[in-house]
Amino acid sequence: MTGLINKYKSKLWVKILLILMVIGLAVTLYLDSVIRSTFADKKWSVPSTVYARPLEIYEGAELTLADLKTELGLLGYSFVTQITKPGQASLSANRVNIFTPGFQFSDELEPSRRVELSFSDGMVSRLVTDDGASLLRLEPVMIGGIYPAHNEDRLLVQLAEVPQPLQDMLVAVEDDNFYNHFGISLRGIGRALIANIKEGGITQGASTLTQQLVKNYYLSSERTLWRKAQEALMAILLELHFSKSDILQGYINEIYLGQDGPRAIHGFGLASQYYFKKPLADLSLSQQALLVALVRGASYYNPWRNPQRALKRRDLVLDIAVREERLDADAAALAKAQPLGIGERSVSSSKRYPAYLDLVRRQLQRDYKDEDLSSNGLSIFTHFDPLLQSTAEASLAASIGKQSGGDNGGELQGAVVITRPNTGAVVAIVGGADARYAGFNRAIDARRQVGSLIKPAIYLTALEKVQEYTLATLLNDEPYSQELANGDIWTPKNYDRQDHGQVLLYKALANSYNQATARLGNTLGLNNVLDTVRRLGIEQEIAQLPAITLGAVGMTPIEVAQMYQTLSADGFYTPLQTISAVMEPGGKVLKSYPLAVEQRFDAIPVYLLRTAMQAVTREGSGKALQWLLPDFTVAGKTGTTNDLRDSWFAGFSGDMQAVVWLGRDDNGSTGLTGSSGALRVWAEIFRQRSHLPVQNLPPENITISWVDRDTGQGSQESCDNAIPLPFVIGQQPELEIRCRRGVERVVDWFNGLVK
Amino acid sequence: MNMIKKLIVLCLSWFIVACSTLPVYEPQPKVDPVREAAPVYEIEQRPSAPKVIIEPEVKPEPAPVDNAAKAPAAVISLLKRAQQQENQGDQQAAAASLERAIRIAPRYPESYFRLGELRYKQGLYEQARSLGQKALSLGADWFLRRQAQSLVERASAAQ
Repeated sequence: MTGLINKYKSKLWVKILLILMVIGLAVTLYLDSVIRSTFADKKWSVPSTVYARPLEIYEGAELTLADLKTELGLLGYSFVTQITKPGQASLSANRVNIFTPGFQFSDELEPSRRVELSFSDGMVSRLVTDDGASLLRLEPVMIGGIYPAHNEDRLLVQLAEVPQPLQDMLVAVEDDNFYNHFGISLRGIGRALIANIKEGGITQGASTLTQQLVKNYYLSSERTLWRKAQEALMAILLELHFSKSDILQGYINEIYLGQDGPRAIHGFGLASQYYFKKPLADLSLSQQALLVALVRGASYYNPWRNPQRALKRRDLVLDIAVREERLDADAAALAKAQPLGIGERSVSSSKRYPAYLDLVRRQLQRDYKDEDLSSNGLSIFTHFDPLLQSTAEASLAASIGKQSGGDNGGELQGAVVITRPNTGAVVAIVGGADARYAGFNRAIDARRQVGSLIKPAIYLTALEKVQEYTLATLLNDEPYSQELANGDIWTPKNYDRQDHGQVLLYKALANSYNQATARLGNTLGLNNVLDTVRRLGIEQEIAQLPAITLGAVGMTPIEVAQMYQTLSADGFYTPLQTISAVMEPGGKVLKSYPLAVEQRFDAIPVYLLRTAMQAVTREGSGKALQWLLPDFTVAGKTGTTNDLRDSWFAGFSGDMQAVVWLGRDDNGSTGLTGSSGALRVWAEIFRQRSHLPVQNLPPENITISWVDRDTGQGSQESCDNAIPLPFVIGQQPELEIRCRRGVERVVDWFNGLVK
Repeated sequence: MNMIKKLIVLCLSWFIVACSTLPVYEPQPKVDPVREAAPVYEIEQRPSAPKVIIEPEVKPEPAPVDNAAKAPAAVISLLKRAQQQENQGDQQAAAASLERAIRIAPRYPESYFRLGELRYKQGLYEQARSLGQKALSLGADWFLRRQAQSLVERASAAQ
């Protein structure tokens, strides 16, 4: 009986053994296929990199030495007395020598060069390059990356680019038997087994480099016996299929070496940039040793936070390498005498410009899938201008600080959007008072009433009726009321609570008279006004309510920027763009975003409107610009909403267009008008950064005529009340007011006879 | 369109005189010194064509719109490069050079015209026409003006 049971038992064991063998084989085959299919063409997910515009340098470029220095700083140049290597610059009082490393742009390769620059009057006055180029671009500043969900960032390197001492130290410290074992080290496992039995659990690993790679690349970090077995099996399989150098290269690209905010630094290539701001090939022995030290605990040995610990570990790495006979003792001693040599811990670039990157991301999402962006290592070139951005951030913060310093201690917020008039390039965006804060992006998401910012659309609608309206047409600014569909009576009031009677059209816009504008808008037809708004670039549906003529409609600052963009570009619509091109790692352009323009308004009405918008800044609601920006012609419009909830200014010069909004997130009163709030920020940005005043070229068929400033009647230039205004030829008023005296008057009389 | 290739050098003094006659509403431009100082070139479009250099003292008649922006030499060299790239059949590179020229001197009409001609050759007639209009709106004068007008007409007809 017992024999039978034993026989049965042994049969059972055989069966179990067989089943286990089959399972084991299946698992092995499965893991084998996983390894073969993934590691061979192993694609690490490489995040996309977002770049600013490159700084263009040529004789005559508007650039100060201070700005160039800032840019070089952002690019990680080191400042030396004599340039000998790429990435170095030397500065003296009026001269700069730069050794550029070169850069692959989407259109062509910018070679490495030695460059000498002289400056005068805020310009590059002389440019000498070693290859004779008269125009060059610096590398673009990296302004952020687009990472996969787990935020891994890396910069892939080939084993040939990895300094030999670094490879040797890595092997010496992490796996001295690497070149001889077959994936696992039996000696190590034995040692670990004993330790684990003593401790009564799995506490100690004995990982070869291969195992570490498998663990990091394929497996979770839990410590179970099953996982350990799986790791060992996969390590052996990996060794079966791939060479030692393939595995080492994989390890060098995979290993985790630091944390930059949410961004995980993977691989030695990126770690070198992150800690030293240099490519791996340029690191000193001491710096290489520090990176190897970080393998054991990037956080624990973080050289910024724990420099002593890091230094000790670095020296240990050097010592071990010497002991394992992989490093010369003298070289190690020399390296040990060096300081850590880490770069300054700068604010992570991914955190520096959250508002702009937010818009880049949204524009990318129209054309790409998330995983393409976060894993294909694309280079994304944008129009972002870090110098302009810092001016915009500082101007907004200073203004808000000043306002909040007063009794109005509420949470004043703001936003800025800056574009280039003719190309529609978005060059800077500030999303709030704290520009580093990556939360609510007011430039794109704060939808606020625009108030008088809408008015240019009404006046443009009028001026398009060339036969009916001129800048001197008299508009009625008497009290106005209109019955609404629901029977209510709408009676808009002027901001100054005054009625101005009959006013010239241009003046009604310049002084932002509500009564005249509401009446004009209603006369023109709300559908026509809204059509103009749409053609200016506003895509949202707006209800046809009378109050829209005074801006009772919510828009975001970026939408307002789109609308004023069309005015700044002489009536040519261009969609606002952040991105200029997207490039694949090999240098192939994946997609370019070409300049596209569309003439949406005739030259004459736009020219006349721009003339009136210049009057806003000269004599109207934006008159403060006469002393904030003396001798510099700009055009724009103030906007103030009920109870001073929103303070707006939108306008442009010849080379910049900007929209500034100030307000509170809770929609409370700011105590600011467009002129006392947003205009100040706007003026400060333009004072520092705009070089070209508005160039309002008169189209054909325009003549300048003098008219009386109150009645619009044709007037002689010498009359006290006369002002010059442009008219379409034939539309200018008849000369009715004559002020000339003496002989000149006689001449006039004769002229009259001849006519 | 067979364009006449010319190199015109306009003298600075004429430009200033032309500016100073502008009406009050034309902002007295604090004109960018570079744009002001740099001589105006019409780009040579076919190297084999004879160059016509108008001596500075030969004052041309002022055009109706006479204050189109001037471009720094860097832009001129980019336009030349674009022409070479186009001759080599690389339209994409040529477009990139022209757009770069536009970014550097966004009010220089010729860059838009040249980009418009390129778009025309690519069969993108709507853009070609718009870019021609843009060149005109920025005050293209003389040959450029005629060329841009012709581009607008041809592109409109082809559309």
